[in-house]
Amino acid sequence: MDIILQNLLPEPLNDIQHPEWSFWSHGNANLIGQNIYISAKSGKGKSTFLQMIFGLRKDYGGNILFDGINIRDIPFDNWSAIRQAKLSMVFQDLRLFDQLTVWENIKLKNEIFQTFSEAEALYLAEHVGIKKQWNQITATLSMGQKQRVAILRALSQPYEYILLDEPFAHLDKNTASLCFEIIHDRCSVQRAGIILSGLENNELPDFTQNIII
Amino acid sequence: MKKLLLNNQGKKQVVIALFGLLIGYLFLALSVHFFIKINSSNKKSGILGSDILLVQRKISNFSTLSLVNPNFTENEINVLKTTEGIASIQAVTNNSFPVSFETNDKIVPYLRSDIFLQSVPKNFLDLDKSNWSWNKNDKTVPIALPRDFVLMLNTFMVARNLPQLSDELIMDVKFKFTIGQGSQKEWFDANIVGFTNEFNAILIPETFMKYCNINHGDLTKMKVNQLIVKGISGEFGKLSSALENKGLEAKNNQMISARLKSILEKTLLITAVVAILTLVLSGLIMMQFLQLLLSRNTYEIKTLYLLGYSKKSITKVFLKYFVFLFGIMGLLGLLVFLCLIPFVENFIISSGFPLESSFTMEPYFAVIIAFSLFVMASFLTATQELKFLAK
Repeated sequence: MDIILQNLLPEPLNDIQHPEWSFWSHGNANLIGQNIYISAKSGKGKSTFLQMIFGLRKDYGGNILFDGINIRDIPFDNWSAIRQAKLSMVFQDLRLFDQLTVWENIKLKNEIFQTFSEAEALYLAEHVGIKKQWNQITATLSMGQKQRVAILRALSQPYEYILLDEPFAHLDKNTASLCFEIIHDRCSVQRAGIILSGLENNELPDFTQNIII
Repeated sequence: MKKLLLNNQGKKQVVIALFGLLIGYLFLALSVHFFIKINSSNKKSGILGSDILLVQRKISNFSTLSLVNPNFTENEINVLKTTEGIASIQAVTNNSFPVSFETNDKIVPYLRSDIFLQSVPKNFLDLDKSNWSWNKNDKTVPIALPRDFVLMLNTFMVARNLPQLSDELIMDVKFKFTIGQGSQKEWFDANIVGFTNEFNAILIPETFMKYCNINHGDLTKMKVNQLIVKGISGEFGKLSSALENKGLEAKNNQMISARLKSILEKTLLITAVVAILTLVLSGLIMMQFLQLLLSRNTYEIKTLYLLGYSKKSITKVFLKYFVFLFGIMGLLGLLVFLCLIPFVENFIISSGFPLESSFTMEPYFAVIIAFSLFVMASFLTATQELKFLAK
């Protein structure tokens, strides 16, 4: 899926003078299966950027086109199909179901397309260090563990782009790279792009485009 | 998804709503069942009479002194036709010809009397009408005897030390009419086809009355002094007031039974209305419960949308749950209904009402209809609420 951004600017940032190097000064980009790193300081609109692409926010100027179709014209009911098979996202607030176990949270997404068997999902959990918590209620996990659950859940579907909103904020360097490894592997298998937001220092490999906002 | 969306509910509210639903279903089934059974049993047994009254002018000292005309003009009948509470009205035709009635059978002693005949339109008759017709050349006339006449006949039998006659035996007894006088006399055999509770005179078909009145009677002497009135079902109060206002009266027992029938019909109607109101109320509680369940799950629903679940698939979870609740309560309501029926029927029968013990399908249909309406309401509520929650 090609994502084209035209003069994109969130309404709340309308009145701010953006420096020339900032993406918000022009709002144009062509995202064609690339791995893109969105970097900025806190409060500069990284989450807003991802939420606009995911169809969560409509308070922006300019256009976002999916394969030439303006996403403003996509009816509400059609978004479920896009979120099932074309876009996946790790939200900054994770949006996990605290009352469910780790496996139940993942299964909820996984059962739409049966992407993984339980054994495969468990293997990935082991890889990122949450195997022991597999049947534990999510509410009892640490933020870092929850973040890994959210990542595994986002991977449990087919997609053309995965949007990751500061997915490693609560992870140590080592765990973050383990997580990135499985994200990268899954995206390679699916020939999908990554749009990842984080703070200014990007030490992750394989990003063809950096968007500084 | 079921575990996620349905665990977040107030148990107390569900129990109250389900109890209301159960009572509603039960009331509905019971009221429909008894509405149908009481009406059909009454039609067969006639225990509560009909809405038909035989009315005449009130008899007073003035009428005895011939100061009040007891007859009805055509104009008066037309005015009565438009009176509130009266469904239809017909003049009762009397004989204007001399007629005598005698027994013509060895099983009963000879009995002969000059009598009074009446005829009314077929639809006002309270007996089996299949043999109720007479054509010009028929020598046998179908007749209906008043119950009081049967009583009188049996009293006569007892007085003569003879055994009393049952309805079936009386219907086999041969009777004979002698119509007219002098050389114009005609004789007809009478065939008793039934008995009437409403009329005091022997009833004959209208065609026979017309034939005899033309050929043996004096048409100028034909007067209408009795009317047959059919009241609007369940509105006896209006009919009673209309008769009172017009100075008319009916037989006391007819008035009582018509009043009772009207009261019973109204009572059944009120029970049905209460049942429907209970059901509507419990349905509303259930809808409110659904709305509460949806709003308690706002976070879950929004997140499911973000994960790619469609509105349809989320609606399906709630709808399945409510179909289950409505269905199980409907079945439970019918089960309680089936258990209660024998007791309630015995209770009614012990009060003297001859209730038939037949199976009725209508209560089941009523519960199915109520169930379908509830499912439809749940679907609409869930769809609307989810649309709102998703935005």
